[in-house]
Amino acid sequence: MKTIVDSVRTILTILVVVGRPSSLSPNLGAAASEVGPEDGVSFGGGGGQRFLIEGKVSIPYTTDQDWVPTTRVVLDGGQYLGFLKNDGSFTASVPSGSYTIDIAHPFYVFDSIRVDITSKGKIRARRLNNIQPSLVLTIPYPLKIKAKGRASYFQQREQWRITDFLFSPMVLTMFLPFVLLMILPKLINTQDPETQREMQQTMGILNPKQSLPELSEVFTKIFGGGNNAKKAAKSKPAKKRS
Amino acid sequence: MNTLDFSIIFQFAILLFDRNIQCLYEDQAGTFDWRQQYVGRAQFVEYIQGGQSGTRIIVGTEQNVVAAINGKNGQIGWRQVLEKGPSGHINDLKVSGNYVVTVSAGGEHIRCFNAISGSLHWESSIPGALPSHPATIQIHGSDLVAVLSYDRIVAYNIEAGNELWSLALTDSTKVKYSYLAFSEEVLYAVGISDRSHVSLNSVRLDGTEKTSRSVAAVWIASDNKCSILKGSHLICVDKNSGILQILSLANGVNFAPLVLQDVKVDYNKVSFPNLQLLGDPHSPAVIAVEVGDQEYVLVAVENGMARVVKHLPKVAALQVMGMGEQWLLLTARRSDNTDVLNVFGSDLLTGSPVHELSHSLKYPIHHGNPQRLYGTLSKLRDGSSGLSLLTCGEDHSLVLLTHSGKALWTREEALASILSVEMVDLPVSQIMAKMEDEFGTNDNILQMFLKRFSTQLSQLWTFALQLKHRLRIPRQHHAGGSISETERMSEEDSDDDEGLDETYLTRDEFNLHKIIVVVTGPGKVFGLDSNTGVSIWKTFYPSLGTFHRIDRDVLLLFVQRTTAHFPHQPVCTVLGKDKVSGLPIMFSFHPITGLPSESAPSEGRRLNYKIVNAVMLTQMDEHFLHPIVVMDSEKKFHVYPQSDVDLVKQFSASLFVFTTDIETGIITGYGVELDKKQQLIGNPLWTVDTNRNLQAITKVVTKRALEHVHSQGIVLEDRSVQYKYLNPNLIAVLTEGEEAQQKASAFFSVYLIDGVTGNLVFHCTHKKSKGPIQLMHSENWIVYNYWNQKQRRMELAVLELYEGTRQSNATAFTSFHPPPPPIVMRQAYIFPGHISALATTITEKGITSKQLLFALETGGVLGLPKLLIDPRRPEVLSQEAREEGLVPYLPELPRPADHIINYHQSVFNIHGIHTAPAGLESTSLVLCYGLDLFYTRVMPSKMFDVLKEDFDYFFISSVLIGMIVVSVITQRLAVRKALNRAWK
Repeated sequence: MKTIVDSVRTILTILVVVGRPSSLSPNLGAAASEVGPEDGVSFGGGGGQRFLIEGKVSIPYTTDQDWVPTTRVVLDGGQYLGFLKNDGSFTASVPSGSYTIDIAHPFYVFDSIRVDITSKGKIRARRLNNIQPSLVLTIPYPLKIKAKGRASYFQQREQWRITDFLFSPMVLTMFLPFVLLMILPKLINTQDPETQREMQQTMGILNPKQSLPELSEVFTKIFGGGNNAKKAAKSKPAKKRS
Repeated sequence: MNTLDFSIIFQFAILLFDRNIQCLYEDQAGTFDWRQQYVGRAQFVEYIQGGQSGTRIIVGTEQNVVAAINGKNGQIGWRQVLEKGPSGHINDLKVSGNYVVTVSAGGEHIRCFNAISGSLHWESSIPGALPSHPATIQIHGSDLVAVLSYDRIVAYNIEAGNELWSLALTDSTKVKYSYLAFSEEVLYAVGISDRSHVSLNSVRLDGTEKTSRSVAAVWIASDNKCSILKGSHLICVDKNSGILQILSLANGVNFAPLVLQDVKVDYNKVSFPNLQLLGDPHSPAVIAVEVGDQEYVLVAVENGMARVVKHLPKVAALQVMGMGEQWLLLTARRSDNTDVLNVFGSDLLTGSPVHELSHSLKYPIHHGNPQRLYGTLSKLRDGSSGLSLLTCGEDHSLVLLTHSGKALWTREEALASILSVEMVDLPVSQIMAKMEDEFGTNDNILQMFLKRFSTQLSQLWTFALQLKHRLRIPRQHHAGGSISETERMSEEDSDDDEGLDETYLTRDEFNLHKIIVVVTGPGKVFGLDSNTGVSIWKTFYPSLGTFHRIDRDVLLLFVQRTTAHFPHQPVCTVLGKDKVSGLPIMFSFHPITGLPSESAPSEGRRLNYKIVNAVMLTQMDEHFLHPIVVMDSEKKFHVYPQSDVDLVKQFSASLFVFTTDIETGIITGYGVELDKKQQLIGNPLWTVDTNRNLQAITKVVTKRALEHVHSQGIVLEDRSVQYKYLNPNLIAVLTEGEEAQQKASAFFSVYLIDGVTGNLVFHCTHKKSKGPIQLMHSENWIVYNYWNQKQRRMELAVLELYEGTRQSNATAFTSFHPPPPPIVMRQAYIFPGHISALATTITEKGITSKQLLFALETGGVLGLPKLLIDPRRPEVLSQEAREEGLVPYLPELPRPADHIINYHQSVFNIHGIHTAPAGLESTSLVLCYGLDLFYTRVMPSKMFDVLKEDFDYFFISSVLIGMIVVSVITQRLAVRKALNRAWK
């Protein structure tokens, strides 16, 4: 038993040394050349010097002040917090470092911001870009944060509209030919002799082999059909004449 | 790649998965979800009387919350949640006029809130404040606020918030300054130097130091409890002898001792007497000394001399209040184990009883003893004065009692500290139970027929009744999610007669209605109705204390028998430790009614050994009860109920237990064996040493025993199957540490260990990454988040384990003949936000695709489909990948607003998400708990098994009827035409 235990232990220690996260982090190319101070430097028990981050939040969509107490300024996911004063301004005292700032409000959405503070207290604000942390798009400091808009938490319910129904492909394929069949002949005045002639001409062009006898007629001639066949034969020239 | 490309792909990705996931419609909000907001256990309570907004109660709580509670209905007027943990811990709270001043983390944050609106008025910070050293506040007059921190006094103007002056205190490394008091125009700051002396500093109001002197006190210890009485006298209790020591701040040279005559201090019950200041600055100088369990001595101080005024042997809580010129003492105690709280009022100085303040008030037994009282008097119409009494109970509750004897409102603040959750099915209705009763009986055919006939007849009858009922009362929809967390009087009244319909607590069609059994920090257990969030029952176990594990309190909750085994009653068991003795204690109860189980003692089962591990077996005994197996520190196993020992012995060969020692970092696996006395004993089989010197174990996560995995593998594009590595014994161990060579560089490791054999299945380390880490373990995958120190962003990693294209053992997994080491696929993503809790949905059969739930620090709970957190997401979308339905890899995960499952019902400090299956395969029930509660249903693959609620019945039926009509008419016409033709 003891040997197994020992072997497990040795395997573990080897793995601790060798194990490396190679493919794990999202590979995004070049390592960022950091401008801000290194994060994670521990400031023991508030002994380090603290700096004030100042800013002002505004929501252009409302006129009342009800949103002020329900808005929170969240730094680094709640490690530090800022509370709003009546005019929407806030401060947060933090040690030097780099912080993400999120404004949390139940109804409105805000852009996230990153603030870098050097050990001397120089403060720079920029748009938060998680994908390329080295990209610096500075924004004015002290911060002025405006709501981007109302958060759309809900889906729009589909409403039944007549246009949706009419323009659905099923309806179009079924009804359009029908409509064409019914309405188009009405549009053309069939009583007018001019148009009649025109139509006949087009028919003539379409049916160039009109002079060929129809197959049915041939058969009726061959097998004999009496009156019916005669009638049919007669009707043909009659048609031609008119 | 530029950002534009990203956004385009993003939209594509969002479109792609939008079709797969259910989003809420606006009119659905609040129909099946609810939120409850809490403040936590009140530490500081201040009244603001009158004004246009009525009486407001300002509370500062242990959960770092400052809030105003409406005195009329108990609802939260405003609430500000301060920083988590020690940096937000409220040291002191004072109210002056319309301002609330709080100090937290030893003076790191001094904040002044507007008491009406809750917005910040000003804030400040004392440099060099120590969070470990509590700060105190005193307010002088209406404008001066003085704050005493570790080494200085700072004064502010309350109106403007500007710092007036700051005074450094001498010798602050040795002297612990903790007490601050105003006496007319002088401010005293008192510090204690351990076993040596007391330092007295007096400061004028303009900040100039007046005197600084020290008084010898050899008996004093730095953790002594002292009080400053009316700004003139310091009272301390000598810890060893129990003698009161009194010192005049202005001119006292020596402490004057006061022996509490005729009073025996019971040192077994109280480690040393507590002091409780009574009344306000204008009341006579009286202090209450807690000398025993519910035993107080009232001490008055006059001219530097103290005397015992009264000995109060049986009093739970007391309070001094003014009534006109008179000063009254209010005491309260529960009359033995009943719902009645007896409140007595007496004159403070003469001791004569005041009858109009003596009441018997209804105070339900589940609140325990009242711990603090805050009484106020209001003039009634008939000229007499009415008492309203705010009580802070042992169970963290806030109850406003009125002189009429009823509670005006109740706030169950225990629900802000939930430790364990289980959702229990409701029992089927009696008729359904009768139906099921039919099976398994050996009646003859006629009897069975009659039984079936009668039950179905009664079923029809109840259906008719229900229909009638439904027609009479239009369906109730409660208002959009904003159920009041305070329980109204009507609810209180319903204690007398069961207000709920008898059929209400029966299982519904789709088993969506459940009882949520919730175990809370103070030892109170609730049964919440999942439809409304109202508690159906609550039981308080005063002796139930919590275990402490790694960084949080733990109480174990087991569902030993579900409701599925009628006529056996369901049983839930909670396991904690006794608050006094520290030994384990177990309570069993019926999850639907909250009543104690018949089989178990109602006062709890006390176990007389130290507990190391407790598990509930998945096997059932002949009464369908899952036995609980407890391992003690001697590696002996105990089985509850004890009658099931034989069952466990039968299974002992396949029973394995592991323990984690946080101190040494060693995980040990045990097999269960029988010793010579035929007792169950643990036999250590394996150990894994995680090397405590380098790293510490912070999490050990197993899979949920309930979880079903429907498909054994995934089908690849070439129609071969990639089998999942489904090891039910797999445990995920998380260790965190700091790099030795490099300063301020953290790392963490994830170990996947087979819990039976100790075989290390997989291991990986993340460098330059730190917590707080949440880890989730389900099916064949593990998801965790961490803070990437180098890139300064939150990342989410996923590990998926596969056996490969061949399954080694299709029938059952065995750890003793494990398959070859699994193929581990992994990927990481940027997570846009900070996660406080992580969970995955669970459904009845596991067919529905999974959804991952993230509780965000900004108040939302985000639900993302597993599809997006899949290590097989390709960087370039090939034809094969498209065929499989994979989403192309993107570094950042989206956070669309319509995937926030709690929409605008923000919840804060969420530390757990509990998911449970419903009767519908598509639906999973979710309870998020922390400071707030949020409950909802999620449908990760949309509602595929039920017609949508907006299904257009009218359209479908009209089309159907139209078709039938048309076919009938055309048939008629066709017949007529054929007839006509025949006639021609």
